[in-house]
Amino acid sequence: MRVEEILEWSLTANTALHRVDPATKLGCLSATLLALLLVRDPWGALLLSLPYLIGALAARVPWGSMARLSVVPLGFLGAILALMLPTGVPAREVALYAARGFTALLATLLVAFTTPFNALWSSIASLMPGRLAEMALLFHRSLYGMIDDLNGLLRAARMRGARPGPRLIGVLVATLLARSHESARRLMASLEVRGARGRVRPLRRPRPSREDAAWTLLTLLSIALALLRGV
Amino acid sequence: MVPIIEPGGRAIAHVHLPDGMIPLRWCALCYGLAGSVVALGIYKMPRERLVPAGLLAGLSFALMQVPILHAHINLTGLIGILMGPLASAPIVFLVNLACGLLGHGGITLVGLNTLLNWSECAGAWALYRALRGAIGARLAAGIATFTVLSTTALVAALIVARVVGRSPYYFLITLTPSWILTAAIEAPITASAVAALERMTPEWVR
Repeated sequence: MRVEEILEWSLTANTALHRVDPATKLGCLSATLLALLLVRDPWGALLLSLPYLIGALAARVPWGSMARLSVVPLGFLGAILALMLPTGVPAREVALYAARGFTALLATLLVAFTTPFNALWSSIASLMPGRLAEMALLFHRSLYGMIDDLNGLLRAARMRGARPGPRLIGVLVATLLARSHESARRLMASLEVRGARGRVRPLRRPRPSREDAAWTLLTLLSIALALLRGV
Repeated sequence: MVPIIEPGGRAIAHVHLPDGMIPLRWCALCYGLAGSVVALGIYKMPRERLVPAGLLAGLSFALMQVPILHAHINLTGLIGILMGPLASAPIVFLVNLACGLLGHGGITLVGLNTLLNWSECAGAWALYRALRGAIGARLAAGIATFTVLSTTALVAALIVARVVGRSPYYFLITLTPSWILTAAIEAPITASAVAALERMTPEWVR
């Protein structure tokens, strides 16, 4: 997966969807995914993609990046659907799975592209119990450094003429782990002496905006229409 | 220069299906079971293990960005060996949740993927501990990882077949060999990492 493309675009772009609160987007996404699992009609499943198509057009999400990021999941979905056909699954059911897969992927990628990952992750972490939230924040904090360090170590190895085979990657994994451990341990100790107890507090209180209301309304409308078409 | 970060391929027994393939009751059941294991893992985890747990989650996710032949690796074998069966659960949950939020595997499948990856961690831990004394840490880590990942490659294909309600035959002859090939890539990586850690921080791999 090309996660850097999502991270960069979600952090640098400023669209109307970027102004929708991450919690609102997550709530709407969850409602859409739940409705997708209930809908039994392929057209109903496609109806659920409408707000996300409109959102993607309005936000001018880079379609090239969206397409590249869709290759693996859609390839996997296509392979499973192709395997289903000779086993006698009705074409309508295959169409339903295809429509559900397309809608879910579009919705998830749109939310990922229009929400800075740190905001998305803190919204979720604030719902987690204390220790899991701490681990989630440590994961998020270490992520960017790990990706940078891994890139740097692989580049350095390549410049020395080493091929990044399993043995080299194993050594890099061990090196990264040992190197990051001390700094992360110091960070946790410094947080603890400042009184941190693992509770994640959002940096700003969510204040529903017009964009939040419009996005929620659009999503709920599509869900109502899809459910009316056939559960 | 070839870009280092490229779209990854298939991961080991980590179902990359988008949402909507698996019925709601299955998703709910898997979320429930995964939630119980994660809660137990968090409850039983000593506080000093939070740091390596968070780091391993970050490392596992970062390593998914590196394509190796047709695949990317998950480090589930290494996570299991280093953290043990219970503490592995919250780690693989966080990694799968982050993947789901970025469109890499469905969000409704996070429960199922967590259970699959956790079973890999737990299996690798058990086999590693059984073999380490007899054949040494490096070989034990490689054999444990390959055996467990190959087994879950069978299980994952059976699960996919079960949830779509069809014969597992097609899935076993197409998905499973590709996952077993990926297991053959991940096993030497885990073995090499464990050997390096045995030299750097031997207490971690005991």
